[in-house]
Amino acid sequence: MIIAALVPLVVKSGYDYNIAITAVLFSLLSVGFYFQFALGGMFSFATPAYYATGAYLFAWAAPSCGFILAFLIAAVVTAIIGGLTKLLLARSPLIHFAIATLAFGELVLIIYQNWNSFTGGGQGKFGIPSPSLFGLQIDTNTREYYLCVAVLLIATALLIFFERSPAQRDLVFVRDMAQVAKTSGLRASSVQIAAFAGGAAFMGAAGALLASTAGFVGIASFQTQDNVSIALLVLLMVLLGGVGSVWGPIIGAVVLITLAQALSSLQNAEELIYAIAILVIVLALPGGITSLPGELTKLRSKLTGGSRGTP
Amino acid sequence: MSPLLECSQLSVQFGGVRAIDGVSLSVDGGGEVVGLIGPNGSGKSTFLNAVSGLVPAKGQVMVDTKRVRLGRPGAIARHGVFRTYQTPQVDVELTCIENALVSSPDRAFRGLIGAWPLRPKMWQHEKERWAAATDALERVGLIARANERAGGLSYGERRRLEIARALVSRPRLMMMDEPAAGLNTTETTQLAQLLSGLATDGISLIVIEHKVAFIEQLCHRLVVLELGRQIAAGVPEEVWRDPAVVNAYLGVAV
Repeated sequence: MIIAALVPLVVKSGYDYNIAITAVLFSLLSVGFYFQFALGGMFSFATPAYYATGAYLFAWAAPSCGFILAFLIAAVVTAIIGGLTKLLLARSPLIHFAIATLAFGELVLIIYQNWNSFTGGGQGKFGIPSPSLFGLQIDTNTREYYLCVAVLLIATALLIFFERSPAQRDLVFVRDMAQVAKTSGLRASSVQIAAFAGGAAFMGAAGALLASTAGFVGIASFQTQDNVSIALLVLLMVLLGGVGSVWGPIIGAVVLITLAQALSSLQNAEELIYAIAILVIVLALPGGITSLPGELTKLRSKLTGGSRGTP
Repeated sequence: MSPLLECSQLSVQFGGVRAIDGVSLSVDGGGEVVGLIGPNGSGKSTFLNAVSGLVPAKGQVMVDTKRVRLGRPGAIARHGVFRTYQTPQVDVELTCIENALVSSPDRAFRGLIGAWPLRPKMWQHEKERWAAATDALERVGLIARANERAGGLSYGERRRLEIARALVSRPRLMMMDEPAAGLNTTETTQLAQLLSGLATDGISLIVIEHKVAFIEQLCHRLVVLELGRQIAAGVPEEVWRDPAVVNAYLGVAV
């Protein structure tokens, strides 16, 4: 977080700010995905659909409602749509659920592409007012960046609060042993619906921030980023960072977005790099980057263990 | 007085096989212990699965004269009937006390509302829930390991943790699928003491078991199944002398 606060010291150009904001938005998406996938055990490909929903809702509401209200509408309505998705698919097991959300996500994007009055269709939606918070106009790159970081901070705090609440243990128990949870009197489906909706809310919030900082929403933003499908990219970020804590997805998102910029000169090699990255994580570091310190300590104690005589 | 649990003409069909065929069984409230016995494959576990809604079943299950919907896992839990499994089912990722807490009947402020806007309310309820879970862990002798992950427990300890989880739900009836399986002699004796203590406290039990000494120490009444049908029922001394039971267990003399 200190690092996030210091970014404007190094970053000067508008282009670099775009990358920094993108990294924050993807952190938010990854945190939402972490909520659904790592805590809730629900693997969904519908992330782009919730991202887009939040963005278009914000674009629609912002001119009349102002930033805060439009932002809340985007997050809450996206959460409701997310909850309905899970409700509809309550009986689908893991793989069926994943495939169904893939279809759902595609369907939603196609609808948005053709729903001219709401989304501006193929041309996109222009003229979204820059946010104004308590009289402060968020119209510079630095301010926009800090606004995004502030939202990410709130999201992280919400997740930490969640992890220190009974909702977390109920969700984990339902994730690990759904049948037993039911016979123990837990309402397994409502626990999961709430968690899935919560994750979707974070994705909707990311969409709202995208719309407000860019001032424009186009369908392409929700299909690919750096030539990789967003649904996959978010999964990759969470795996790269690690599912051990909420910091995993954030680190994963920042690393991948920065890496993609560093590699952008390689043109079409990005996908290859991603493929290699996936293999390396899965094979060498299944706990993700956040597990690295622990793994290193283990390794060191293994190396020095012989001389000290401790196992 | 009507019984606490009354199952009548319960049948479960797997494809062409009738796993249980018209079994009726009742348990009185207030601490009656019913042993459900029979050779392997006689349908004992299927019977428990049917009552707890894990497999689709025909027939009627009533708790306190209220009809319970069949084929819905958890439907009977809301009537105060809980079960344990043949292989102890604990979440290895959660701590012992968290494993016990999930079945708390106090469901207030346990979702997103309690996690975010109304945390003080949530803590109030958590305090009571933790007190109940602490009592349960104390009762099964796991209090010292309350904050350890359940993944570190031995087989016998997992079994006791499962019992603690059932206790937190404040059950009126517990259905236990081979609670003594895989336990050594000392552990089995301890378990029998624990269970008869629960019965003394007014919790009725249905116990599936193979260990004869364990059954005799614990059960007031036995029901014997063979190939999905009930072949005998009554107090243990009579049931053991019943020729049908002797046949089922030892086979017909050649």
